[in-house]
Amino acid sequence: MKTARIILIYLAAAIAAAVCGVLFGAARIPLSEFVQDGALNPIVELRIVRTAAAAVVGASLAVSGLVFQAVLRNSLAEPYLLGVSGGAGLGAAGAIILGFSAWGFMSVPLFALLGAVVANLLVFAAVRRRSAEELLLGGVMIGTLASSLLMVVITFSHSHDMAGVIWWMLGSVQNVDPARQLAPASILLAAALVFLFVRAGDVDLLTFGPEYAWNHGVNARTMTVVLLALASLLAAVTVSMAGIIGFCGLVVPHIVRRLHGGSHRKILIPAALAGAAFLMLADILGRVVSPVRELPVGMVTAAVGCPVFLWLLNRSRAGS
Amino acid sequence: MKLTAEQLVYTHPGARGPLLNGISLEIAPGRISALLGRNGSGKSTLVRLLSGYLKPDSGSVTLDGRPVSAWTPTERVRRLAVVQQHVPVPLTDYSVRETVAMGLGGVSRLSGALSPAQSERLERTLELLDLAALADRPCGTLSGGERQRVFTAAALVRSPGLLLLDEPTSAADPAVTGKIVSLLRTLAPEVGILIVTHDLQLALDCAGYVMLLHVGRIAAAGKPADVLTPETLEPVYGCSFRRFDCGGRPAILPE
Repeated sequence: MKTARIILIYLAAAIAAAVCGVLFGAARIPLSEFVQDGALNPIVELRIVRTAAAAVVGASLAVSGLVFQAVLRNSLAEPYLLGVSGGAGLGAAGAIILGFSAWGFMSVPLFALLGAVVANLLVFAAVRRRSAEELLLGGVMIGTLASSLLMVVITFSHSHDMAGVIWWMLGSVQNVDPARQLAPASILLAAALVFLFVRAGDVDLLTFGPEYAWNHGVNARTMTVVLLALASLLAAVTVSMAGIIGFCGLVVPHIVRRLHGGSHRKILIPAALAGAAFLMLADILGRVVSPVRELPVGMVTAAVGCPVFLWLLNRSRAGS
Repeated sequence: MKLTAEQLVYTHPGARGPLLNGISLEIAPGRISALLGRNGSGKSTLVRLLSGYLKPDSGSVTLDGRPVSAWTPTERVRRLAVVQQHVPVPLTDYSVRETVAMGLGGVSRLSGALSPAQSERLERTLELLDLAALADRPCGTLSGGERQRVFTAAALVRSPGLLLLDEPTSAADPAVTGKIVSLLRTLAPEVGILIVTHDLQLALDCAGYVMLLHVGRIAAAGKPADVLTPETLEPVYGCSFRRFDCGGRPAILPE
């Protein structure tokens, strides 16, 4: 299938998911009440923001996962490798439990971002040879250490703080600030997409290993670090804004790669659009299935992503 | 165009002593050189040093008089192409055409589309290596020998001046080996070629210059007829060899 046609299909799916995201929610709002007295209905406005947040978070996670899987040549690689989730969790929990959340709405996301970046930098500093395999192992080690410290922090925390930390760790796009969180994350995503589109050929060559990439004109070591840092930053920013949302970054790029194969220039935009559509739909499901106390989006992505992924895995194995 | 190695010394990280110790050689158009040696003697490591992928402990590798590491990656690969012995299987199953096109170095082109001249060169290379019929097949469905030809095509497609081939025929059947030998002979007047091989017969048939790597050094070097003799091979491989005439063509086999 031609690249333009593939992109159009995914774009249509993302637009449909976005429209559903605005139309459906816990409260039923007739179309006639979307605009009242010349102003947008506040609930509709909230839905637009959270749908846009789901789109940006989903696309960022999918693009991050696509890069991790390509560079590490591992289909199980996901955006929270290199210590991002553990570091972000520790940062957020620290902010909540030590009372920094009282400093303002942005304190927990900022501490989460700080935790993710510090964990990430620790991995790059600790792994001297910086080959993909060693960074992967270093990331798992630092991530495990950070998660263990997080558990210690939670163990010594008060129960009301604990609930806040756990809710944050399950992931949600409910409370994203459009100006201070969504806008910078959108700019980062756009910049990452442009960079990756231009350097997609390098990503293709790195999937054959660093030596092959070197032999075809890619500065493999530098490019590996740049790509992993970019993918980690995308994940860190999303985690600081919406908590830890699993499966999207693992399942979406894997499925897009299996369905369309080929160059990363061909699958980059479809993966981003598929990630956006997937998370928007997961958010709608979380709102519609349990309107009173909505399900965390991270739980929905796992519940939907896991069976879909296993079905596709078995289907393609049977096919081959 | 010339690739020169001077007194290369290389020690693997954590190893007690150097794997390569004072290797000097020169690759230039007009000649096919063959590098032979036992398993683990450092042949593939030497190729990685020559390509600049590994840095030597001491000594130098220069490409046209400039250190190989001083060239920009794009400039380097326009002059020097390397075909690795083992290429990892990627997650994405690229087609033969896509894989060979990656060798064109159009990696930073925004559109990813090939120019008419590049397309023509791509098709010509596919024909040259008998890959035209397989061009749209995913590489994951190919045999080891076919994959080896794909990677050779990806190296040849940008018409390099120097070509390093690590075990180019290890997975090829006799017919394909014959075609590769004939192709290398055709290229040799304009391309400097180094073949790393265990195939003594390939070195005898194809090379104009043979180097025998043993215990970190070039133990013997010269014309194939002078180097590939039982007297020089036996101390290196630790087994007996018999050289004989096969219909007017020299042949050598282990006994």
